[in-house]
Amino acid sequence: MSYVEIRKLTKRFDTTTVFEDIDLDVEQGRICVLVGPSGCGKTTLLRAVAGLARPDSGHIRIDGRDVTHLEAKHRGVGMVFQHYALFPNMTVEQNLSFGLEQKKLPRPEIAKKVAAVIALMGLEPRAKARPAALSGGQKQRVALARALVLEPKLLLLDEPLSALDAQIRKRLRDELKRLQQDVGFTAIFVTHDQEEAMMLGDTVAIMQQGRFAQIGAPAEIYNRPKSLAVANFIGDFNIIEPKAVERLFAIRPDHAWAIRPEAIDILKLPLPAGSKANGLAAEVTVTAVQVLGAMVRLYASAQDVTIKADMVNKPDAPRFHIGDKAEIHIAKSAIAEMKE
Amino acid sequence: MAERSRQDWFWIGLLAILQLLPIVAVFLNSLAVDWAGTILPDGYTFAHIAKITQDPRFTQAIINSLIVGFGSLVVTPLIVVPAILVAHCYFPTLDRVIAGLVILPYAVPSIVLALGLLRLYSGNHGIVLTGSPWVLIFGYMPLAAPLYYVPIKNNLRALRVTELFEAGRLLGASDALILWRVVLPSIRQGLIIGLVMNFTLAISDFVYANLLVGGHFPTLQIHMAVLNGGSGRQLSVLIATYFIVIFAATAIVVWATSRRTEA
Repeated sequence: MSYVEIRKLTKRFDTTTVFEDIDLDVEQGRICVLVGPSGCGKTTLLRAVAGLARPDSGHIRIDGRDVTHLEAKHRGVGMVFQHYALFPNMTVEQNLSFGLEQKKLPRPEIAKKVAAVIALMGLEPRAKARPAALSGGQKQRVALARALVLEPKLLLLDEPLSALDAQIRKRLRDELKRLQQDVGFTAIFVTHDQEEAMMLGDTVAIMQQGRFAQIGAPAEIYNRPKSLAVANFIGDFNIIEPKAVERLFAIRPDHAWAIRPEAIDILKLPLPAGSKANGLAAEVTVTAVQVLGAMVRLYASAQDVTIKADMVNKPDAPRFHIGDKAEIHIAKSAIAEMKE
Repeated sequence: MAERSRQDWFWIGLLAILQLLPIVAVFLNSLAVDWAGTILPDGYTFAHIAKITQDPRFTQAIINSLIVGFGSLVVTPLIVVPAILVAHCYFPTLDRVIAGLVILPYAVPSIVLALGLLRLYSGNHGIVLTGSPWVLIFGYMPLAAPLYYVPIKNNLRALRVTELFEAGRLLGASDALILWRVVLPSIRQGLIIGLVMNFTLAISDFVYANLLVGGHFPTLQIHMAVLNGGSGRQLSVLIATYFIVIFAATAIVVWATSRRTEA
């Protein structure tokens, strides 16, 4: 039995179904990331787990206890909101003490716990500041600290980084990952950013139109999307229709192929003596070259099919120019067949 | 911020003087022996002040005004502020109705409102308040509602109330506690503005006081109107007193409110 178990959960607003018969498992000490386009139901699912939205049917179990019909405050969950939801009239310390005061802990114990989490989050210099005096990144750190200080069984994060600018977001993301490894909390993290999902998630659940399109480890989802919808969402795949595959490689598959640009080897013609394709090969003409920094993106076409291929931008890597003849090699393991 | 130039100070000073001039003039006039044809009075005396303060009607008018002023301050926010909060937090649709309702008293001519209040409070509906300060205290309530509504709504709009409630619930607090410990302190500024304006309204109103209670409960404003035909010096004493009462009361309200919420 998993630490967090969601079974057959359904939520409707009036006539629209937000999600239906959803199942999800989260193991203890792991981060499960719910990722999907806006309006796919991920936030509502999170709110149902938090006890802020009432599901129409189904069950939610946390640590073996059925919490489906419990009030939010009795579920032992902590939540971090997109816009922090810090109490504006209280200092950082007071914000952090608030939840402990509700638990009627003795004052010295509250002070000890608050001091510990303030140290953990590196908030000592701002302990007496009010939220209005904090930067966005600091506010979100306080929000996280406020949830963590209660030692929740499950931490819920609702797009906690999306209101921050790119640099802070990256730093906070790294911090969050490290913190999770140090403290070992269990979390469900909602985001619409697939890069964030890949980086933070032990499990990534891709949600589309109220159901899970795929649940798996980041690497698995990245390399082997189960459907076109997933491949398109994760982004940047070469999606090759069966007919195009036939023109290129003289094989007729039943379904379209999805291949990541970096999984395609591109080699200048003529090939050095003795080199042999590992998998499929096709001859192409380079039509565009873009230097993206660490990577070089090549567009190559053959038989009216355009293929994106990425190569690492090493100093001694061969340089391609528009019009160059080349050969692409694709390992069989790099091909994900789009069965859905 | 750029430093103010000499010219800026000149204009600010000029405006301040222009604003203060009538008040200073009223104060001087209340102390003047005679004032005609000169820039400053010919001499100063406390005779007018002595005369007016010996008049029992004057002291009674001040007491009456303070009863209405502070009575309104106690009753109005107790009813209006919770209504604003509850509508904002729980009934957004109702909130739109309230936004329209609060300006209604200002859209209706005073005489219509006054007659309406008279009918309402003269026993037709089992409530008899006419002739007592209560009719003013309750009569000012709809007039004071927008004075609370606008600044408090401004404060509330800056808060994400729904999220604060949710965050609080997850931390184990009841909604009432969140209202008391988070929302109320956050609307403090709006509340102070509302209280000050409510008091000023209650103490400086003549129209409703005259129509609703008149001589039964003469307030400072009614007493001023009575004296208007008489000595200009004595009227100046009254107006000066009125200013002092307003300043003092405003100071007390601001001081009391900021202290209460800090504790």
